[in-house]
Amino acid sequence: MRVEIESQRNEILLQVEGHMDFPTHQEFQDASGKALEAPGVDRIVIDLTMVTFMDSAALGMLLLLRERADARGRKVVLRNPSPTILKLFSVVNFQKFFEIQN
Amino acid sequence: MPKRPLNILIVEDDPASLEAIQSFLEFGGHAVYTAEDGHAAIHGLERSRPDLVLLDVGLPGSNGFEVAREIRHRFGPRWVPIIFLSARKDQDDVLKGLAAGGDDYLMKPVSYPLLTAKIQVMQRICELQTDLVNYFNQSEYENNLAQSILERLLHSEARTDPRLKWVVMPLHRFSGDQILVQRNPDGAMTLLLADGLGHGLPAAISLMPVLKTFVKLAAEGVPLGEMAREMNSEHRLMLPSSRFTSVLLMKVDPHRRILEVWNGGIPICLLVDDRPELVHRFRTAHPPIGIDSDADFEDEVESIAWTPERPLVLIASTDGIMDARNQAGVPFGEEGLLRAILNGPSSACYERALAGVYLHLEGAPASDDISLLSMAIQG
Repeated sequence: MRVEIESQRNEILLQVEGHMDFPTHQEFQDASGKALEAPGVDRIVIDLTMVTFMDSAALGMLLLLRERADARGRKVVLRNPSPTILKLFSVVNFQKFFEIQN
Repeated sequence: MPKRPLNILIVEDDPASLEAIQSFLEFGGHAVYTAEDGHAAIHGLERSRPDLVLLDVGLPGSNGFEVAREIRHRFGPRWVPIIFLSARKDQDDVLKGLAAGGDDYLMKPVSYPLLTAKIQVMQRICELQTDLVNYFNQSEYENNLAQSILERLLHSEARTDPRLKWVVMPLHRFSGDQILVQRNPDGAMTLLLADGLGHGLPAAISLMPVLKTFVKLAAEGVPLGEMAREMNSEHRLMLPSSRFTSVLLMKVDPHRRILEVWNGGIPICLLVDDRPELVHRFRTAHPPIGIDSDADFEDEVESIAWTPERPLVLIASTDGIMDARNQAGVPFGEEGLLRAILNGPSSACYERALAGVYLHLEGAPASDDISLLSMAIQG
């Protein structure tokens, strides 16, 4: 997995590439930590276009990020998941907790 | 100076050389055992219990290489470092020694600074090995404890009911998937299918709040929605917010002929009739347990009535069965599962689904826990 961070005005973009799963959770944790600390941000956008696989540990990471972002008054947006990942999101009702953009 | 004195066995047929190394090592605080040939060395292993063996290559009788092989064989999985001592300097000899199970090679006459340094290296490796063994023992102890706690919760006679067929195939020692059944005195039956995050011990620990709440509340006949709410609140109390558990709660009431379902994140929960045709699909109306706050939690259940003329079969499964991939990496999928279920009489749809996934796997190992449950709803 690779994560690239980009800042755009009041938004921070995390571009994730590859498998998002337990073996790569530390990398995502580090990147999301930076996104949480960045000043003047009110939206954290996770771009999932290049994510090929996601397991339940990855869902857990997103939930953890959402909780921390909530505490700082920031929103987490999940952008452009593949049809398979979108189906996974709908099984666990993620639309209730995240803004999911297609 | 060594951190801890070692038991060192020296196997050397030259008395002068033997005595010199022995005094040097004893001066360094180590306990030294000696043997003049391979036979004596091997027979003395029980007594000397060496932490390290210094082994001359040119021994009378069996040579050092053969002795090294025999020592390795005797100690089995326990690793004891062996350092060869030899006057022969060619590379082939060194390679032969390492291939025979030696860990290092030292030229004679022995350089004491080099010997000291090599002993220290072996000590470091030995300590790592001891740490690893301790770590393994600790982890086994924890696994056993977790298993015995889980078994107490899962011990349930009700899981053998003629209406019920189920299987949980764990990927690891503990399954992240669990099934619990409670039969109430009024004839109603309550079922739980839970899928904890991940596998193994962490999954087992994460399942505790859900299993414990079910065992307690299902016996009291608490309504499903209320039970789910209590599970959610216990889960959030005990576990970090990155963990959640997919839960399917079902209640069959044979007097009112009503089936109730609360589904939080279990992808497959279907009703088929005896034709067989898909009658209803219980969607995952809720997020898994452990995500919603108490204020946002929704306890609505879905209810379906049945008639004696139209018996039904309920099929439920976690995502493992759909994610089961064959050699080419193609998942069994919901399509595969539905095809198997609807391809014959409903009384055998459970067996067809299981056979279907086995055939699909083509002998490849599953990548997730697989669980499947079917219940006849009739009368």
